[in-house]
Amino acid sequence: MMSKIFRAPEGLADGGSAGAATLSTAPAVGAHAAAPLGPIKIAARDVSVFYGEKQALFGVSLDIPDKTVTALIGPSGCGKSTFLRTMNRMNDTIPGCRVTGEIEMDGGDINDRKIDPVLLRAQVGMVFQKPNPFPKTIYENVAYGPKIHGLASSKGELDDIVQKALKRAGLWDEVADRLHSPGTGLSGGQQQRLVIARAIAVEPEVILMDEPCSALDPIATAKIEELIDELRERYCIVIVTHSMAQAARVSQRTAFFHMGKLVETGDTEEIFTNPRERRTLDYITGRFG
Amino acid sequence: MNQHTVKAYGDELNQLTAEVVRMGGLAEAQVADAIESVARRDVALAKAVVERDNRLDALHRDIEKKSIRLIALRQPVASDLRRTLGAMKLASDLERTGDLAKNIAKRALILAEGEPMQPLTRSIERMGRLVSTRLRDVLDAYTASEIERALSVWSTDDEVDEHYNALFRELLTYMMGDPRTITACTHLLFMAKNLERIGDHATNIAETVHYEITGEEMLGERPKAVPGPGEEQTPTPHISTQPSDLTDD
Amino acid sequence: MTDAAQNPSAVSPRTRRLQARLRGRYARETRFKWYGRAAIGFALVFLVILLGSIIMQGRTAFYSHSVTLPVYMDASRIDRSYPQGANFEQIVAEQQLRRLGVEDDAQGTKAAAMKALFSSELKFQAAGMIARQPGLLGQTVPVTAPLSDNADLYLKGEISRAVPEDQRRVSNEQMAWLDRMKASGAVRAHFNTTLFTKGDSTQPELAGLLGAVVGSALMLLVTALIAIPVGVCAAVWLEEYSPRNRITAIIEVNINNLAAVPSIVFGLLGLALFINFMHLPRASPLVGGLVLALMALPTVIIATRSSLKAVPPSIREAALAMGASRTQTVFGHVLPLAMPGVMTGSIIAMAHALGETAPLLLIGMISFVPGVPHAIDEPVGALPSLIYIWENASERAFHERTAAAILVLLAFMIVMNAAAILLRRRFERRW
Repeated sequence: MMSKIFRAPEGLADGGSAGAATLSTAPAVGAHAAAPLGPIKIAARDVSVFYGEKQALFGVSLDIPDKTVTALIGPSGCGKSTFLRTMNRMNDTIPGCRVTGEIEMDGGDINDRKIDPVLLRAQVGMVFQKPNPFPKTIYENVAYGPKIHGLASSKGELDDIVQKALKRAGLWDEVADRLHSPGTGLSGGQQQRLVIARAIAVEPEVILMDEPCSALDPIATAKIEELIDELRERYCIVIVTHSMAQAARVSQRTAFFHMGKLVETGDTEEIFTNPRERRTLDYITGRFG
Repeated sequence: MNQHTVKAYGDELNQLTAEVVRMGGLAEAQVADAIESVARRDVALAKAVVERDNRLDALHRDIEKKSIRLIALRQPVASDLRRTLGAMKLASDLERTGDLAKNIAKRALILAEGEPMQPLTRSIERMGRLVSTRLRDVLDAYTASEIERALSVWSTDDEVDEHYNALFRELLTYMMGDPRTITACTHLLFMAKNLERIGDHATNIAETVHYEITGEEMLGERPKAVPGPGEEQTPTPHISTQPSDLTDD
Repeated sequence: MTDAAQNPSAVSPRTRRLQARLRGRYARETRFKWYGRAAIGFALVFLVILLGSIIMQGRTAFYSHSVTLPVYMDASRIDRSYPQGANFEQIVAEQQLRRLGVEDDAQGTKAAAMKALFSSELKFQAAGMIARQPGLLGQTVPVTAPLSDNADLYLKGEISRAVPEDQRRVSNEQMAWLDRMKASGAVRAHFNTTLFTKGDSTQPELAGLLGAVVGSALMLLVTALIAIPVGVCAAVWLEEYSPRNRITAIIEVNINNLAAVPSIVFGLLGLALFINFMHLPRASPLVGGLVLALMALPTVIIATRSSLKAVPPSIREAALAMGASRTQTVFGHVLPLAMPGVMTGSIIAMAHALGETAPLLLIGMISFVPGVPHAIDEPVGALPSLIYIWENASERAFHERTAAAILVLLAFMIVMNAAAILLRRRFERRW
C-alpha cells in the first residue's frame, strides 16, 4: 500500500550517482536547524573496487563535506568499509585489490598511482574497530606518527605535540602521570581514545573511523561520540557504523550502501525521518531480510 | 511491504493503528448520535452519548501510553516514527471531537425540554451530516492510507464554514424575529459552533494523515470561507514556509 | 541425581538412559586418562633407562687417579741442557721398584711393568721441571702425573681379578703395586680436570673434551652468524614482501622439504661444494659452520615465518594507517614482536646443529685432532664426531669417556633448549 505513495526515484535507481551531485544546502525546518555543512573535502567519482575477479563496489560517487561527520551505513558486506579504505589507500595493502575511478581531495586524485600512499596516510588518519595501540608506551604511541614524518625538530616540540593530541582526545587528564606506561594497559575505551590521539597527532585533515565503538561498552561509546562531536569542528570525519542509532546521533550526513552500491545519501535528519528510497526505509526500520 | 524482522515490533504498530481506528469509529458514532438526538429530540440517545464519552477518554489515554512505550522501547524512525506520532495526534483530535459531541448532546437534552424548532434543527442536522461524512471520510482515509481522500477532505473545509455562516445568519434572524426563541437559538448556535470545530478537527486529521503517508507537511493555507460581518475568524494553525510540493502518483 | 539415589522408582526411563550413558562417558574419560599416563610413563621409562645407562657408564670418567712420586733427578742420567732426552720413565720406574722393594730381572721386565702403570705425561712433567729449574738436578723432587689408562681402570674397579691374567691388561703383580701405592697415599683420586681442560689425545688418560667443545663452539658461531641473519631476512621477505604467486609457492614447498632432508646429504653437499670446488680448508669450523648453517636455515626460516604470521594484522594495519612505509612497519613493529619466536626457533635450530654428526664426518672431522683450536680455518674436532671417534677407539678407557662426552653434549642441548623455553615464556604475550 505504501509503495503507491513513494515518490518515483527520479534516476536514483542506478545507485546514487545523481544523489551525490545535489548537496543539500537548504536550511532545515523548524527549531533544530543543522549546522551549515562545510565545503566538499573528498569527492568520489565512479569508484569501483575489485578483489581479484570479484567486484565489491559498483561505481560509487559520493561527496564528503569538510568539518562534518558523514556516516556510512548498510548491512554486512555492503561495501561501506571497502569504500572507507579507498580514501586512505589501505586497500593497496591487500594483494589482488584493484580500485578504479577518481577520488578527489584538495584538487588532486588520490587514487592516482603516482601519489605516495605513505604521504596520503599522514593526511588521512584511520581508527579501527578493535583498538590497536602499539605495544609501546603511551608517549611513544602518540609520538610515533610525528616521529616518522619528521614533524618535530626537538624533544620539547614532540612533547608539546603529544600533550596537545592527548588533550584533544580527552585522554590527557587520565594519563598525564603515566605517559611511560604501556599503552596496552589502558581500558578499551581509553585505548580507543589513545588511538584517536595517535591519529590526530600528525594533524590530519580527514579522520576515517571503521566502527570505532563496536568493541566498547555504552559509557566508553558515549565518550567517543562526544569526542567525535568535538573533533568535527577541526576535521572531516567519515565513520562506518553498524548501529543506526549511532549514525543518527553522531553524523550530519548519512550514506546508505547495499550490495556494493550507494543507494541513498542525504542529511541525517532526512534519512531518518523520510528517506527517498524503499531500500533505505526498509533497512533503517528493520524490515530487511 | 516487508514485515519487520522483529515481529513483535510490527504487531505493536498494527495494534496502535487498530486502536486509533476503533477510537475513530467510536467518535464517529458519538457525532452521528448527537446529531440524531438533536433532530429527533431523543433524550435517551443524548444521555447515552454523554455517558459514552469517558470511553473515548480512556482510549485516548491508552493510545498515548502505547505510543510513548513504542518510542521508548523501539526507537522508531522514518515511517514508523510518523505512524506513532500520527496515532498520538489523531487520538488527541478524536478526543476533542468526542468532547464536542458530548457538548452537543447535553444541549440537545436542554432543547428537548422546550418547544421543537423544526426548520432550525433541520439545518443543524444538515450541517451535522456534512461534518459526520467528512469525519467518516478522513477516518477511512487513515484506515486505508488513501491520500487522495484525505486531500479531498482537507480541501473542502470551506463547505463547513459556509454552512456555519448560513446557520449563524438564520439563527440571528430567528432571534431578532422572536425573542422567546433566544435561549433555544443560543444553544443551537453553540451546537453549530461545535460542529464547525469538529470539521476543523477532521481537517487536522487529514493533515496528519498526509504527513504520515508522505513524510511532508501539508503546505499552503487551508481553504477558508470569508466570514460575514461580526463573525469570528477561526485561526489556521498549520502553516509551513516551504513551497508547495504536493504530488500524487 | 540425588533424587535417583533416594527414590529409584521415581526416575524416568529417559533419566535412567542418560545416567547410564553418562557413566559410560566418565568411564571412557577415565580410561583415556590412564592411557595417557601409561604412554608418558612408557616414554619416561625409556628416558630413564637411556640416561641411566649413560650416567652409569660415564660417571667414572669424571674422576681419575694421579700419582705423586718423589723422583731423584739423577744428574748422571739427565742432561742439563737437554732434559727431554733423558729416559725419565725408566728412572722413575726403577726408583719406584726400589721403593717398593721389588727386585728387577735382567731384562727389566718389572721396570717395564712399572712403566706401564704411569702415563707418558710423567716424563714431560719431569723434563719440564728440569728445563724450568735446572738447579733441581741432583735433588729429589715430587713429580705428579696421571696414571696410565689401564691402571686408572683397575683402580676404578673396571678390571677384576676374576678374568684370567693373560686376558687382562693389568697383571696381578701390577695390581698389587697399585694397591700398595694407593694405600700409601702416593696414588690419589681426584676430579678429572683433564677431561675439561685438554684436547683430544691418543692416550685416554690425557684425552679431554676442550678441543672438541671449542671446535663445536667455533662452528656454532659460524653457523649462527650465517643462518640467523640470512634465515630471518629470507623469512621476512617471503612473509611480508613477496607477491603470492607460483614461484613463491614453489620456494615455500622447497624450504619445507629441505627441513626434512637427511643431514648426510648436506655433508655431501659440503664436501662437493665447499671442499672440492671452493677449496676451503677441510674439517675447519668454517666449512662445518657453513654446512650446519645450510641445515639450520630451513628451520630458522620456518620458525621466523610462523612468528611473523602470529603477529596480529591489526598491528600492521595500525602502523600502515599512520603512514609508515612497509619496511618501517616490518622492522619497527612486526619483527620486534615476533622476536621471541624467532629467538626460540633459532636456538632450537642451533641446538639441533650442535648434535649433528653425519655431515661433520663427511667433511673430514673424523680424524684425530689434538690440542685446542684457535682459528676457524684450521682443522678441528667437534663434540659429536669426537664421540664417534672415541667410541671406535680400541682402548677400554675410552668407553667411559665416550659416555662422559655424551653427557656433556646432552647437557649443552638441555641448556640451550631450556634457554629457548625461558625466552619464550618471558616474552610471550607482550601485546
